[in-house]
Amino acid sequence: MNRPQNIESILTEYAPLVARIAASHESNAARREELIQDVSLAVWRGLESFRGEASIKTFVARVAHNRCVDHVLSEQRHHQLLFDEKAYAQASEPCANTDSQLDLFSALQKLPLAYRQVMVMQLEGFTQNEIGDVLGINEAAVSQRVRRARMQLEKLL
Amino acid sequence: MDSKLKKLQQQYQQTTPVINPDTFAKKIAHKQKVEKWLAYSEVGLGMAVSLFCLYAMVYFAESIGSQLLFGMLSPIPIGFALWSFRLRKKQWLQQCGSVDEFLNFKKQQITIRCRYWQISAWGISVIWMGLALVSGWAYSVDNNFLVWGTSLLANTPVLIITWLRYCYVKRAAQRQNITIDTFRASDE
Repeated sequence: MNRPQNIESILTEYAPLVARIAASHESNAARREELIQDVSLAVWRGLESFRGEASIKTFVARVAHNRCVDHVLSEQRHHQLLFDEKAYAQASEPCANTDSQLDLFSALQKLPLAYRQVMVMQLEGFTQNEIGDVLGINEAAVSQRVRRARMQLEKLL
Repeated sequence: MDSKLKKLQQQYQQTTPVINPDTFAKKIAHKQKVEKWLAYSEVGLGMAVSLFCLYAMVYFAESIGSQLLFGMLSPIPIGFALWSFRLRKKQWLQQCGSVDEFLNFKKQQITIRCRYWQISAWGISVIWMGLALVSGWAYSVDNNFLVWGTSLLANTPVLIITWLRYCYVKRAAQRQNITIDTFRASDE
């Protein structure tokens, strides 16, 4: 059993990672701050039962992505869809054209959720194997998502 | 790694939102303590109410009927508190699995929530209709109409609120399911 000894120091170490993942899912500063705290609390609770099956970084990313998916879903409980992800995905196929230049986080937030997650993890430096572990999909699916996500992100930028 | 990705990675790392790690860790530690304390105090409160029911059964109840009532009531508060404690813990652990497992869990949760409000709405409708029938009958025979009529009136806002809540949950569930399905369809 590889139980972490000091949860606070782990949280401090991975706070920037958590903040970047939260920022790619929430643009509003106050809600982002809340999301960062929610993710960190979830990581804390998770670490209490962490058995060391994966690296701590992968574990933190897994909890953060789950919590962010939950955040997106609960935002939809309260508000109408900000944009229809499916419609957006179709609209931003290679043939679509956009003149607006976006900063990286705004562009990431505009990606469909599945593409956003793989892109964020690739930007964090995770390998395809680790991304597959976090998302629970095989490497072939990861590589396909990464390719499509890159295409859409480059168009947005 | 291609140069474009490397550039994006640098840009991504440089735009990290500003966080003071020390204050942040202290804040989270405090929040965790508060939540833990709240969870345990909920169990403590449930236990206290259960113990009070047992105490009332032994010292206050004046008939076999009331003794039986207190006896039957006593396990409910502690049972509910323990169930809620375990459920919360289970939900925390669900967030440690892969995103795909978490999406399965969320889909199940959305279905259960929708079903819960659907059953509640129909159940309350049946009770309301029963009350309406009894009130009508009481009115026609001029027997205890005030009691039944008041119950019917008091139940009407509950009925309306439950149906409104069910419609809201159902609409929200449709939107959430679209997001989950779209997420999964992105590999096709």
